[in-house]
Amino acid sequence: MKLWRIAGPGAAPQLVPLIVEGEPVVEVAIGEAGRGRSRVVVPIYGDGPEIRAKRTGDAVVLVRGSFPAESRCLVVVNPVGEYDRYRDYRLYCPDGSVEVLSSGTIAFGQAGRTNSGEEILAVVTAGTEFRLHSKYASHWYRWDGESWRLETPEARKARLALEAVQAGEGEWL
Amino acid sequence: MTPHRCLTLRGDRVEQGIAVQQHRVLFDPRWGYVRSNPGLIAASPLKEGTLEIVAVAVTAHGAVLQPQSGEARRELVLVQQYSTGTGGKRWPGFRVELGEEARLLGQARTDCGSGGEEWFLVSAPLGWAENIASQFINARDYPSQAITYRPEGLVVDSEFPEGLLVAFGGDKEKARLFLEKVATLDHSALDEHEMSCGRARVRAEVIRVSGDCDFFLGGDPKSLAGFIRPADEGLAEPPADELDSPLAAAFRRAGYGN
Repeated sequence: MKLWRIAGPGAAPQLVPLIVEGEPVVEVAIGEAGRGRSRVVVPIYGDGPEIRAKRTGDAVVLVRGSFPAESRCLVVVNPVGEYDRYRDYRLYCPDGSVEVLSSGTIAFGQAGRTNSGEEILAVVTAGTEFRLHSKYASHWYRWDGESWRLETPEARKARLALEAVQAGEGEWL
Repeated sequence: MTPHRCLTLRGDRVEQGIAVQQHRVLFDPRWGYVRSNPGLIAASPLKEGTLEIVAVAVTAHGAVLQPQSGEARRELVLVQQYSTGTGGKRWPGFRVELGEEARLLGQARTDCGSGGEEWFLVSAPLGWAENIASQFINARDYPSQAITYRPEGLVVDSEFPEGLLVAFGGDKEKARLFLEKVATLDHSALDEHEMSCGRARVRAEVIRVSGDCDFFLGGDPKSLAGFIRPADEGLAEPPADELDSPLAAAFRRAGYGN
């Protein structure tokens, strides 16, 4: 599996590099430290182009190795983004399999007592899609087994409408 | 499949075709702006360009406009409703009330900024867009209008001339009151030269004869001067040179211009 990161609602998914400046990346951090927050560090060990997750009791570690390529992927999703008093920071309308392995908390305000949200590390299967809401707009994310597709609701509706017509559905006026 | 002729309707203007970008009907508002998701008006297999004649399919996700050839039997109208914002607030807003003759297929709207727009796509009978456009009065200080389709062609308010309503910002009560004052005015006492002068002298002359300081009810004396005439001359729009400035009229009389 590859490890991806979605930095916030509306952000394009980025492949997380496993080697930075010649040095292997040894951990991935989720959430943030501070009052009303929680920061979780997931260690990465081993060597190889692929990565798999392994549960060790209550914790999770990421193991690098020469594993066969999979259609699943590991992804760190930050559904929080910027502050919005009335928003529920989460994944909306998940369709498919989103298996949450670990999560940290991101909050606002010095005391962290305004609404907060969970940044998650998850394994998603091919064909999984979900929506993230930013302060004003929303975006759809779809993992197709090889890459992520990021769409606005309008682009998604247009694609689905065109696919429906190609499949012979719909009413002709 | 019924071939639809694509039209774009904005106020009193009807243009041929509907613009498409990225397989979607383009939403490009001039008033307000889009910060959230505006909505899908319709999709099209055409990636980019202008649709002229289409067949329309309605799916659970939205309408699809398939380019086609042939003679149109209905209209597909992209109605661009708007309310004006900063810099244009004295101009009227444009809104359309849909009746049973039109079928709504998709819409998009702005959500913030000064002024706002809401565009929608309708399937309507031929002549629908022209009918709506002909009813919209796009004159400064005229109020915003919500227009309905009138197939019988009753598109002009027969009670008052358009210029009179425009002069009073669409206020029919003021227009009626003004005409009552005109009817009781002693027209023979008006100095013809003064009435052809600028607005200040027109106003002063009418007040001198009528004794009514509020004769024009807040309207522009120069715009209304053409309507001050004996009742037996009727209520038609005044000739263009009566509404022009004295200088323009003088030039016209001298043979310059049209």
